[in-house]
Amino acid sequence: MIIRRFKELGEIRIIGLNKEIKGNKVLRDINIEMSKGKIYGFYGRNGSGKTMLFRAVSGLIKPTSGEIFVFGKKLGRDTSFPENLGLIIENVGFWSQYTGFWNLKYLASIRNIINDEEIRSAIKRVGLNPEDKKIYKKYSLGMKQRLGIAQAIMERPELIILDEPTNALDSEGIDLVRNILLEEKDRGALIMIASHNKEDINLLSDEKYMMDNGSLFSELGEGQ
Amino acid sequence: MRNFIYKICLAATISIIIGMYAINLMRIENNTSLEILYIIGYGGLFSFDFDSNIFGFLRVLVPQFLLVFLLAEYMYSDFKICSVYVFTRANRRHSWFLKKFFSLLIITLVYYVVQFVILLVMGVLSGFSPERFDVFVRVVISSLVLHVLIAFILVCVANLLSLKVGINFGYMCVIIFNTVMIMTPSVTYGLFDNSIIIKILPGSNGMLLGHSDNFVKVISDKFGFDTLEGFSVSFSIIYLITIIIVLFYIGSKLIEYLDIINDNKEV
Repeated sequence: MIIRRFKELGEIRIIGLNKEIKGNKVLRDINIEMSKGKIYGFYGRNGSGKTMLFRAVSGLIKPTSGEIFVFGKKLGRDTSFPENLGLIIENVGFWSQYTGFWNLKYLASIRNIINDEEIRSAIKRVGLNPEDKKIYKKYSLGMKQRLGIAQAIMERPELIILDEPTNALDSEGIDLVRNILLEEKDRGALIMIASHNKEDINLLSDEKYMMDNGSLFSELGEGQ
Repeated sequence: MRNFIYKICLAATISIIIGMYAINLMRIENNTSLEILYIIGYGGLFSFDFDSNIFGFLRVLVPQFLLVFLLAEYMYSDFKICSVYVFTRANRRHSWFLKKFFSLLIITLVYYVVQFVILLVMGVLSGFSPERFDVFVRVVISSLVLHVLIAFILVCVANLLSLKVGINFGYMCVIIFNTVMIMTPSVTYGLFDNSIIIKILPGSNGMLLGHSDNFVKVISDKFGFDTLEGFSVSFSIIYLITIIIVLFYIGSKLIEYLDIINDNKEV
């Protein structure tokens, strides 16, 4: 019954979310509903609160007040982190002394729902070579970003949260990532992307939101 | 792996230095008892008198500080090394903390087992043997348990502080706290009856000497080490375990409400 109600209302519901860090309000009364099979774009200048909002939805920070429901579960009560989440937040970081495949294999071992072949397939999908023996430290910025995207999508998550997914990518890489996001959307994933690149947001998003000073506004400029 | 071997080598080096000190002291006394060798090496302070304790303080504090130094960033490193990817793949923060907490306990145990085994090997090779086997077993087990518990408390405090205030500050706090804790009974020695202070401070509970159990008194009386009436090893073990349970509770709460906002860094 509860699950059905959430399906009616949206798979992600954020109600009255506020976050204060060291006296600064970084998120102010955020209210939004999101559904699967759509891409939600968030744009705004640096420090506007995009990343904090993504951290809150990912369970990485605790709301000062308000509630976040992800697929029917309340974060902080029913689960600490959204189940089935693929995520990139800001800088992509991995274990630098190991190969890309090793890094993804290690992360995949935590949930243990995909096999080596599926990891290789995710690496190929972002245009990298899974057999490459180069350690992560030797990767270019673009390769690091691609590997980050591979780890976010490799387990076919229902919720994909990507903060600046096209950072450090060349035009070919940007096209590749855009295509991957559209494929993931068609698969039924709920995708949240943040970008300072308005073109990414315009091309990919089904719904667009602007963030400013911790507040969320719809594309039309209406407070949510 | 290289990091692990380096840590084991450091633990072994400390153990060899303590072993050499204890063996030399025993040779001066012309004694080849293995249980007394352990008491000299890992029994703690021989006396609560400050003046006779300068090397004693180092013997107690250095192995503990080394362990805390080696493990102070054990929990924090998960925040430093792609915390975002690791944490969001675990459903519960509690399960992560539980795993880390018990891993720390196991590592602390291994650290002291390595040290105790090295002392045993050094002692046997130097011609030492148990005078009374039952006393030897009790000395070794009690001393090992007390060392592991007190060191685990220090390591836990350092790790929890590192999550809240950073590694360096957390480590410094533990060093100062432990030094004060170990030295306080010696500073107050002779000024007033400090038996309550000794029983309350976790540091003195973590040292075998000073306890009034028969197997400790047999040795303490013979060598003139201080003992405190009504201060049993079992009391200390229960007391230290209680502190660990409280730390676990505080740690669980801390982890539950901790914001994970450190940027990912390559390691």
